[in-house]
Amino acid sequence: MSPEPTRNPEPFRLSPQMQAECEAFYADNFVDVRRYARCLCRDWHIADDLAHDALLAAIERWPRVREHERPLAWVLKTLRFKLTRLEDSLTRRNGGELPDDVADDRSAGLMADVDLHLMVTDLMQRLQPREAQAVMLCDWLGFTERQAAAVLDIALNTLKGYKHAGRQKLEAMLKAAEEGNLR
Amino acid sequence: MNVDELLRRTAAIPVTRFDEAVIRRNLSRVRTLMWTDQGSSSAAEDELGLDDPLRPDEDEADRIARAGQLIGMGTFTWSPAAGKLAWSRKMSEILGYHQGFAHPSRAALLDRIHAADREAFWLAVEETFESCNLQDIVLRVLRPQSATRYVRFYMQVLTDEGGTPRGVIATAQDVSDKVFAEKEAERLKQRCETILTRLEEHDPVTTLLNWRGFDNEVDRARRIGPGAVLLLRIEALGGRPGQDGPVSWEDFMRVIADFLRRLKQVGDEVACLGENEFAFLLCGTEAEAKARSVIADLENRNFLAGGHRIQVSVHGGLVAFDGSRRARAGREESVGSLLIDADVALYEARRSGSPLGMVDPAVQAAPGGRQESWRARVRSALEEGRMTLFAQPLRSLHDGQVTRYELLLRLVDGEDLVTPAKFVAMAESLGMVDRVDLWVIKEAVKLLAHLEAGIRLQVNLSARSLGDPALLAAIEKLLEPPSVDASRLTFEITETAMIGNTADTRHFVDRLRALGCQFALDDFGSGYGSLINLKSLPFDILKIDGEFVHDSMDNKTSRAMIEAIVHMCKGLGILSQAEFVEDKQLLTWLADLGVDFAQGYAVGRPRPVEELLVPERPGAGSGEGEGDPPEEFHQSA
Repeated sequence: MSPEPTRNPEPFRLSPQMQAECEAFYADNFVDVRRYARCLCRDWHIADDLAHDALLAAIERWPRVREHERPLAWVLKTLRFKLTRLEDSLTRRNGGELPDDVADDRSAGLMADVDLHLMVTDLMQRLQPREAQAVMLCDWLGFTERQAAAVLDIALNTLKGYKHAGRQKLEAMLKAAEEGNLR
Repeated sequence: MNVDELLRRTAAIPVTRFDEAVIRRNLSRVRTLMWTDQGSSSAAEDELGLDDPLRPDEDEADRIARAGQLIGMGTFTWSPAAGKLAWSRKMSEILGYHQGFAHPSRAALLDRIHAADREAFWLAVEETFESCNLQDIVLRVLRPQSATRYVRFYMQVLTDEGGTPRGVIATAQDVSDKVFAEKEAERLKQRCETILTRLEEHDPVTTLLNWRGFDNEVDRARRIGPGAVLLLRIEALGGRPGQDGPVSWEDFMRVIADFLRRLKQVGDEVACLGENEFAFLLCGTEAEAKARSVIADLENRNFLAGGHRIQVSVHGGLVAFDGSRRARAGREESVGSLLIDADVALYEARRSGSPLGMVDPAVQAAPGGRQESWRARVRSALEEGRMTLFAQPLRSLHDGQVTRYELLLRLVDGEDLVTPAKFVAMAESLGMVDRVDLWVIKEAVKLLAHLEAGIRLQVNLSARSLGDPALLAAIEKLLEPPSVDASRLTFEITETAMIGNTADTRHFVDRLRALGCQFALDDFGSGYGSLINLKSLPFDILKIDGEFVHDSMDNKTSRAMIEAIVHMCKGLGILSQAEFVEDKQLLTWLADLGVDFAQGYAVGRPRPVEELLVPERPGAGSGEGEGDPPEEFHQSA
């Protein structure tokens, strides 16, 4: 998953105050970042590793990242970047096709009677990745549309389109699930 | 629950104790890794940069371009108001320009888009701007030296503070590897679907081996070790399926075939050689015991066919081989000889009323043994008039008229009609097939003299006849004036018959075409011929093998083959005929495709030729399913 740690020629040192900040940042955001990753990647092991690695990357660069308006944005952007790199690598190894456990396979059946978290994850995985990310960033994690566009590196107008499409599809799926028609 | 409520509730999901445990564990790892002298470093994030993604002063276009560059994408931006188009260094590379190309422009960009894709490309750009909807399109880029690459363009609209469109930005990525991989996967998938897993050696009704397939299996088995050939004649008690009683011939044959498959042991093979005739290849020794067991199992069983119970009577003819391909008499045995021996044994069993007849191959192989008995059968069939002809209509798919008939040979053997495949094969092996062919041609000429002028007849010629000068001379004499118009006579030759015989075939065909006769290439597609034959031999008609036709409604391989063959015929000026046309839907499809003639049960079943001479009732002769004659069994001679 993430590169093997290599011995840093320059020891990494943070003040105790910074260390405490990092740990608090990690604890406060881990669940959200992991949830975000799991909505993008069907293999939860990969998703959890990506979440941890993205947070770790922020910690490594904490003196700079802490100055950001919202450090979580950098973490999520890093996570998406790592996922893209991973998908490219796996695609090359798999002869041009993304392996099923990572691919955007929207054909999973809805698990009935499971808790909310699993249900939402399943629904999000049925959206296009950018639709899911747009909805999660704006409606779940509290980013503005402009901020969400910046995290996703897309135009504002594009972000609005994805968010709208994602929400419409979620509405349709919720309705179908209530009627027992969601496959 | 609506989306807002769903997301609100999700956001409010509390951190569970399990989550807290995971966080504690991870933080422990962080402390170990980060807060000690060990550090970790990954270069990836350094590429990403440490700038705050939410900084408000960054231009949207710059941000997107930078992000694209980070993951190896090129970008171009278009500002219609300023009339300007700019692109990144990576974009230069993707387009095949050297990096730092100084004059990006719409013209330079379009110049590198494949001519066939240019219009779609610029339409997508304009559509993105006008509709504010993103466009995701894969197009071809033509680089210098005609290298074609597939590039994915992801186009977004750029807006000002007020939301008014001000331009388009597109990221571009070379996805050629992915596209080529997808095309290859699709091609392999299509090829796997279209490769026949079974060679054309199976009977279409029972799906058992046919004559050709069984021949090959026996030949193979004889090289391995001892074994035996068991020919079986299986007849339903209480009436002939398809003629007397409610059970159809096909149902009967299938249910027998299924049972024989179950009786088959490892290493054995089962074949269907004709109407009511089956064959077993028994490997190893103990053939007689096996053969008797098979016959007893068949006779003791109540079969269920078409919802009706049937019992059968069985006779068998058994001949053993020793695996050395040589008889004890020292002469090499052919597979055909073995089959003749088995048939003789079967004939004797039926004549004597015993269930199983056996033949000593050594005795049969001795001079005058086998050959003499069969020669006598063929001779007597000729002299005693026990060969008869049936006629099966061919309908023109252009005007719906029946103007052609194929003549089909039958040997009357007791109460049975023997199919031509076996009879002709044996006659060929005895060197008597020329006499059989000549008899058929004579009958055809006599028949033509009594039929309407517009009716043509098609007769089959065997391989040996093609090289027979005496037969050729005899046919020419038959067609001398004031005989019938030679153009009303068509000779059918199979692809296989021409192997090693092209020169003789050419001579034969040329001489008879000079008189006006036509020639048809029979069973096209299933033999061992080559397309070069169509260039070098002047065939007028090509008969598409029934193996492609009969399942073409369900088999896309067969459909593709037929379409290709018809197209080829049109290009070569050859008429096409489709065999085994058994239903109206198929007839319609073939007509729409442009096939010239159709033959099969949907057009008409074989009838005794005498019926052609009877004045027709309205609608008779070309209808479906008219039923007196025995079922035609389409096997190559």
